[in-house]
Amino acid sequence: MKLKKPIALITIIFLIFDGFSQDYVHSTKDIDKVEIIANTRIILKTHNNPSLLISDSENKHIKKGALGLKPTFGKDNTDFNVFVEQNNSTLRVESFQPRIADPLVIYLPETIKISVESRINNDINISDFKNEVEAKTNRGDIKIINVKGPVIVENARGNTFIVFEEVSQNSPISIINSHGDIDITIPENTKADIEVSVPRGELYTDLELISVENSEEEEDKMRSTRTIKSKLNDGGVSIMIVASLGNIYLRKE
Amino acid sequence: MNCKEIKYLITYYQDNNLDYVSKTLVEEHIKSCSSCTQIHQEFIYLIDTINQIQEELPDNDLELAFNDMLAKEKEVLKISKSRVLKPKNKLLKSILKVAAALLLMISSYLFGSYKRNTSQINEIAILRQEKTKMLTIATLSLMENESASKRIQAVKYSQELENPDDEILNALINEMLYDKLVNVRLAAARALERFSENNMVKNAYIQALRTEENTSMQIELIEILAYIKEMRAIPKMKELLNDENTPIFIKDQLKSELKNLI
Repeated sequence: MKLKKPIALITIIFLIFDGFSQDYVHSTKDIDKVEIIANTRIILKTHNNPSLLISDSENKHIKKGALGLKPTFGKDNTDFNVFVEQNNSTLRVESFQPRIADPLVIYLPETIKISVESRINNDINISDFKNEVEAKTNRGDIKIINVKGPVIVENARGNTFIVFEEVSQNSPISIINSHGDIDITIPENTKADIEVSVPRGELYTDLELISVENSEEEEDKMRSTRTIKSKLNDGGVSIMIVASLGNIYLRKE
Repeated sequence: MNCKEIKYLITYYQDNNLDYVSKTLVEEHIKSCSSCTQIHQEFIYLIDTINQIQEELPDNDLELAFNDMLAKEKEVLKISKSRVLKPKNKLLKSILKVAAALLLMISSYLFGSYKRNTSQINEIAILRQEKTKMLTIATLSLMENESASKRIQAVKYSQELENPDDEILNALINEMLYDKLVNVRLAAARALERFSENNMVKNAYIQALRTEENTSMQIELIEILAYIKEMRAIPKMKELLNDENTPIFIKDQLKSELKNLI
């Protein structure tokens, strides 16, 4: 009987704190994909719960005076200046915080598909996801770590840095930077058909890329666009990498 | 899921193009339904067969040998009509009988082989038609997919079609002009290159150069239009060259390509 008292006390304390917690949680039980759009820096991490979590400790809550009122220039149903809406199996998360505000930090299950867009010019950091990742920004850097893919990146003026834990053979990977550099690390045993273009930059790699045979005409064109088509470990999933003005660093793990 | 839906999804399942939930549902259904298990097995067999027998072509020597043999046979028949063979002894008669039997057997064998080859050619043609049909369906349906990676997969499927119809070309053009991600637009632009002699494709490249704002796509389009020597692109190229918002490296490329075109 004595033992039960501390447990009950801890439970009561936990419930009290939980009641005070201002985290936003949305179940991802029936969700296949989460689309996130924000003006601020976006940080996506994984957790072991089947839910989307915007934690009070890592995100800026709206001011007390705004509680219970509606914003004029944005939408908010989370009290974090973020609007979350479910459309069939897709969960859309839109942040209306200004560009210079603190980052938007979101936790999701690692197996969910994600699509992230920084609407203005901010960075995107994504780590540990094991399903499709799409990321788009205009001027920020994109950092995607410990993923399996497929990965799709469109980056206009920032740098892109990706580390693949393994490369999924499910469907194509495509990374396109208009101005910045691209730095990609993949496991040495990855099977892939790799097409790399560096029209104004250079490709640096330590991978054994075996060039695919092309017709003379094709060779001429590929030389002028500085494109190389090659097979890695006898070929596999399609990987297209384009850095229009920057360099590409393709590394083996 | 019912059997009809499973039949539709089997292509995607086999190509690993289903999301986790759909994949699991298909697997569970196949396990519990003998009819769909058979369809799945037949599909795997069909794909394996297509991949294995692509290089098998009828042997010209075989046909020639058969024709030669047939000609000889006709010759023998002619001789037998013109002159009645009257063997002088029983031994000669027996030898001729054995020879005739052997000739008949060889002719039958060669004729059978020829027929088998003809039926194989028909089978290959049917399988190729089926493959084209499946690739066309997969291309068109995946282009509607929400996932950008799956849309690029659709573009890759279209590249496996030897002579894609206008519906496929229009779908590729649509992706090149209007997809929200440059990754899909650029993949479509590259896939369309082998049809750059087609007027519809040429017009689409010119239209894309007029509307495209992404510099990676602009570089690609300028390269393609210069490569196919499309003179109608010159006015837009000049306009971009004179536009103060055009990045310097694009202007450098425009100058270089315009020199070659004009």
